[in-house]
Amino acid sequence: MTQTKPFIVIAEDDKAYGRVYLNKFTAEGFDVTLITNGSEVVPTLLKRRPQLLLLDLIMPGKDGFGVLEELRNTPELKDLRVIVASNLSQDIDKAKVSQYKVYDYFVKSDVSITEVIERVRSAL
Amino acid sequence: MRRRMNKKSTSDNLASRSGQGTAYVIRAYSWLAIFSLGLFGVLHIIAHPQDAVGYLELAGATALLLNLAGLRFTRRVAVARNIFLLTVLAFLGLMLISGGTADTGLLWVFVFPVTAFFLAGKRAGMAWLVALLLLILGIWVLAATDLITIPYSGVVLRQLAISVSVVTVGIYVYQHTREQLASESQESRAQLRAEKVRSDVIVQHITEGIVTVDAEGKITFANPAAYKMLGWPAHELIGKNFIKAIPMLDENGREIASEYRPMHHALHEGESLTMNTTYRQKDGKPVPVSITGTPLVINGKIVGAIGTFRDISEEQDVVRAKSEFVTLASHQLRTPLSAVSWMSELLLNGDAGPLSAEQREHVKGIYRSNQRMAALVSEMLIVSGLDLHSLSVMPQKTELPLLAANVVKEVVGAHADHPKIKETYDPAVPAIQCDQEIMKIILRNLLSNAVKYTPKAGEVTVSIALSKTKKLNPHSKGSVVIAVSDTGYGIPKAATSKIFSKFFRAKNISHRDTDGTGLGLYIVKALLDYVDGQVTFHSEENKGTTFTVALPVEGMVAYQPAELTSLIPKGAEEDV
Repeated sequence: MTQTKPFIVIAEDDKAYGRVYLNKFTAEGFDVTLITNGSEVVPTLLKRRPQLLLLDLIMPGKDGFGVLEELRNTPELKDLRVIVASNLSQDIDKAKVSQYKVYDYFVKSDVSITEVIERVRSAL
Repeated sequence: MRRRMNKKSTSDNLASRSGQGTAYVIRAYSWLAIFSLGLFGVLHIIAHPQDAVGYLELAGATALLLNLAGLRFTRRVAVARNIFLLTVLAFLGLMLISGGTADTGLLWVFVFPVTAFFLAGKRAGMAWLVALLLLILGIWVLAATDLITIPYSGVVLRQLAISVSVVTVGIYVYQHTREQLASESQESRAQLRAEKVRSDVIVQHITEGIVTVDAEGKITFANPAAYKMLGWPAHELIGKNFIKAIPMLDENGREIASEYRPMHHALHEGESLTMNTTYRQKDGKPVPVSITGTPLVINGKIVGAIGTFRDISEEQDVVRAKSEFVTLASHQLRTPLSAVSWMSELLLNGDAGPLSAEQREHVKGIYRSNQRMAALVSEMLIVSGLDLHSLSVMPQKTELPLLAANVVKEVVGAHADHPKIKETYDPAVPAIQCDQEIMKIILRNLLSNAVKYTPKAGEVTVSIALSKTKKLNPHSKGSVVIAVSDTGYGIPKAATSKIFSKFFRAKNISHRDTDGTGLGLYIVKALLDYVDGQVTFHSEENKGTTFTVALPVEGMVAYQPAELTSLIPKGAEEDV
């Protein structure tokens, strides 16, 4: 039973979001690892190999753009599905993200947590 | 001090130039006179060696030679002129007394008025002619009293005096007119010169760069600001082809093809064009500029173009700083807002255990207020994106009726007590190129206004039709017209001029719905302006309102804002 649980990594430095993510995704039957520092994302991904990465853009250590750059330059991870969840909504930021072939991009304040779960589920 | 010195040296220069003119005439006339006196003197001496006239003529020629030498060494033009005229006068007297060759001596008298006026000017020339008349009179008196014998009768001398006077008056009038014309033209020349000095000073000191090119695009002039901005030394720039010598770069640093450049446009299309762009200086350094190319048209022919440009580095820094502030502010504002939203959602969903009915109502209140705040932040971001021109337009083929139907569903879902909504979509409406996000914001705002401000018993109609006659620009073949009409409270007459202003809310609705921000219609109008569309409305209070949106059938033009390099150091971003 445990083996069928979808496994995702969430990179999110904000404590409140982190709590909501952990709470909701666990309740919805996901296996979740939460990382709060951008520079730890790629090493963790290499070790744990999740099905999907839910990525924040503004983080300490390394920002989301830097993580995406690093991901796409890491052969083992370059095809990993990534959903960007940020509060940056300017077109410039969206355009920057779109260079990296991400699966989905949403602005956190535009969606409900239920919708976040749906989006992640449909990406798996 | 330097300016004064310059002026003085200029006037000295002018005076010496006019002196040089007179000296030249004196020299020319003197050589003529020396030649004729010398020649006639020698001929006289050969024919009548006993006659004094020949020797006197040679003496006169010698006197004129000495005068010329004096002029050369002393450079006293006025003295040389007076000596010359006096000598000529003396010999005219001699001619009248001796009669010259075959008594034709009196003909030489007519040479004098021209010479005198030419050399001495109007006033002094007149004095010299009075002297000539007195000389004729004197000779006549001497002859009449038999003190001397001359070959001419009194009548001849009288007629000579009269005809010399007539010639003198004629020359005087001529000289007077000539001097007046000369002074007028000198005045207008001085005026022109002053005008030129003024415009030169303006062009040299203006901080805008100015470059002119000829019809082939070769630089004919560039002011110091242009040299500085383009990073070229003055002497190297003139004669170069402007477009070839100064590369223009797009936002990605790639060279812009010549046919898209304002100067090319001015030279080939005859229209002026302004562009914000980047020039590459001679040493390769980029400089952001705003340039306008304007054609120079003379008699309907394009003879060249003028380019004016200014450095916009500072303006760009301001835009960049604003844009970064908006990015950070939006992130900072939204982070707590959506955290509150998601946490209240968890509570409402029972993820943290069941809530009592009262607790549930309170959490709902938190959730709703929070959603309002989040919506306001989103609206402010759209407004700032419009202000900063940082909103991109990404058109894709869109079936507007489908898009509208989705927005209707969304709005209906958000308003429980909504009036009846009727949808009429003309099947002739083609799919057009439009940015779906922008279209959704426009329709969502118009529809939610219609729904909010129409009583439940009323009706809201959304219609989309094709109009071939409504053209938003001269090249358009028609428009897609979207109308959102309602039978609601309407817009009071006094408010009609302000409804598209930022934060404006009409009195008859502000008490009905306290949630509104007053940004909705401003955003609708500003977005439509941004994509070259149009919004109009017709309203009657307590009867209803119709908002009509028109988009050209050709659709929206794609626009991608240039990515601006960050002003905030990398480390600073990581702390947020």
